[in-house]
Amino acid sequence: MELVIDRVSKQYKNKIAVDRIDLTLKKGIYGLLGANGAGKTTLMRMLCGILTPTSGTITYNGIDVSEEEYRAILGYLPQDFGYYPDFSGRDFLLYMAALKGLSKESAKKRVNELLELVSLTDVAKKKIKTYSGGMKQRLGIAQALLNNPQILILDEPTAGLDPKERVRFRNLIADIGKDNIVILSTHIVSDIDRIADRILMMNNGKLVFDGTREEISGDLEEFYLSEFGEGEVD
Amino acid sequence: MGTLVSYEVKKILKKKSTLVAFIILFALHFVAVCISGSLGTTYVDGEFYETHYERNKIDRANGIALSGRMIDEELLTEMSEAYQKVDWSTPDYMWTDTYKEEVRKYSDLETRFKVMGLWGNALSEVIAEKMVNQSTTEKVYTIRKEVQQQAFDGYMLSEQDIAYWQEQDAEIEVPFTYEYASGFDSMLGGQGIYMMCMLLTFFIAISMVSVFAEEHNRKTDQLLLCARYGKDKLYIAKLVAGSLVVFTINMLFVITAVIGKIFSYGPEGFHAALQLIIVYWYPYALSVGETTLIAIGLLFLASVMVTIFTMLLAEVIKNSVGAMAIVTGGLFVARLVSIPPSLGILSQLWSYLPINILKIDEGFTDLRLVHFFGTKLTTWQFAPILYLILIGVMVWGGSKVYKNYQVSGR
Repeated sequence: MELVIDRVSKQYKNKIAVDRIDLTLKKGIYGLLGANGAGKTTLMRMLCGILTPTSGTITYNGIDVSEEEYRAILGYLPQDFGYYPDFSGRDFLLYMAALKGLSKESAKKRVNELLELVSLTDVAKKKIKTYSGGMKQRLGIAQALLNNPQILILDEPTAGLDPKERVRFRNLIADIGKDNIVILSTHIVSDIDRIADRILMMNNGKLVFDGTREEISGDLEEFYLSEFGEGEVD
Repeated sequence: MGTLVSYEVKKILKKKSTLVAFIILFALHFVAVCISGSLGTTYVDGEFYETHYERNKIDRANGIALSGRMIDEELLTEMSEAYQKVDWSTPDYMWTDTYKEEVRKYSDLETRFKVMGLWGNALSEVIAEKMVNQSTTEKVYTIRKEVQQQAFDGYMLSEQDIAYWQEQDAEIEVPFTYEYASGFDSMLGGQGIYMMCMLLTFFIAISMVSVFAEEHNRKTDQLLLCARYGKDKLYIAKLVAGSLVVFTINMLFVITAVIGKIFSYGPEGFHAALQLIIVYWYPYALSVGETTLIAIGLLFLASVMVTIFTMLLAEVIKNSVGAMAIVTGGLFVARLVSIPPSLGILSQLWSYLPINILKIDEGFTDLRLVHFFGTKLTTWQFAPILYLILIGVMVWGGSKVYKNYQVSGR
């Protein structure tokens, strides 16, 4: 299990959003930190195959990011998570399950499991437009987990969750991270602090720190601020 | 794939714009196509004469009674004698028993003569002309050849193509045999398939522009495009779902139109010659029944083509409103702008636009042939091939745009 990011760059007209990132990720949880505009979301989108790098390659066990086989083992929760307001939560998950290639039977089973996991069983038949922000976020988490992904990419997954839900979510991610690759970007440094096996920090499109929590002495947030000066943790 | 298609259909049907467009356009269809023939009342000198529904019933009964008769000298003489019994100078001649008993029975046949270019405004003049001039039957068929020649010249046909049409024309049996076919006449006219094409185009423009575009607006594109089937099967599922919805609406329109026409005019006349009902000079042996089936087939295929075009246009230009404006604006431009045959291929392609080809006396009967793998094809024969080619090209080109969409800049 190896996700290889090989000299990946993304350049827009006059701006380099991601600059020659080289990484090899094995199973575990990777916490991604960086200020606004550091290139985190761009990197995550490239890892999901929805944004093509200007140069470099991304492969998982030799499978290119652009292939269906790669998408089959991928789970993604974007920061600005879109949904269909007139779909019920269950329908939305069943639709996403069909897109992820689950058979009807296994989709039903998996959807029920996940609705239970994210505490949405009671409102599963209600339209998503009636959901609160936290409920929508939990639905987003559930869709990312539908296919038991080997690579799970989460952009601000705990936004909108209450403290109790955050703890549950952290435990869930910690569990998934034991056998899979989880890349997690969040505003909440404590989430990364507690569960990340490896911390990645980006600044101006470059990877400026790649190490374990043990390599950072003291408080992670203070370390971050000392690394980037007054930059906002994003 | 079936599950994906069903969810995509659900997405389309759950949209309020789809529902509102359907209700409004179906109401228009019901009034303008289904029951238009029975709506209205005839007043003579300000007095109620009959409803159109009653008129149709009388004309139908008279028409059925005359069906099967050859349009020859005998029939024309019989008509002529009947018409001479009426005093046309009397303002209220329609109230007279003579008119009702002697002439009224020819009213549908009279319409056929108008199609044939024989009858002028005043029937009496023609009758008078018959009394002093050549055989009217001869004149009827001479007019046809003259108008046909004008059409050959107008379309600037080559000698070979004219020869082809003359060969086809030789297959047509003359004198024509009269058949009552008002239902088919109405179906092939402005308040039939042509009107349905217009209404369906509006429906497509309103309900199909968002099939791809809404995924970008809702930001669901990033979830879809990184899912296993998000780049290939989903693309096809969306196209199939859109086409399926439009096909079903199309089917509903056609079925209700057929019921409406039968209610207003009756089902008779499938085998009536197209020449007698719509385009007198057209040099190809087609019945109105065959023409209706061909036109309905073209309507279905064209609606699928326009659906795919609309969905993909919105995806390419990333703008639903812009795509809607292009499709509806294109509809008006296609009808308002006429491209003369002197502009060659452009003019010929113009005839293949769905709204033009479904105008039976225009695009459908455009005489310019297409030489396709050694065969000469008429407009209505080549149109399905052209539409399928265009669908194939659009699906292929659209998949490139869809798959290569880059989620950035949010």
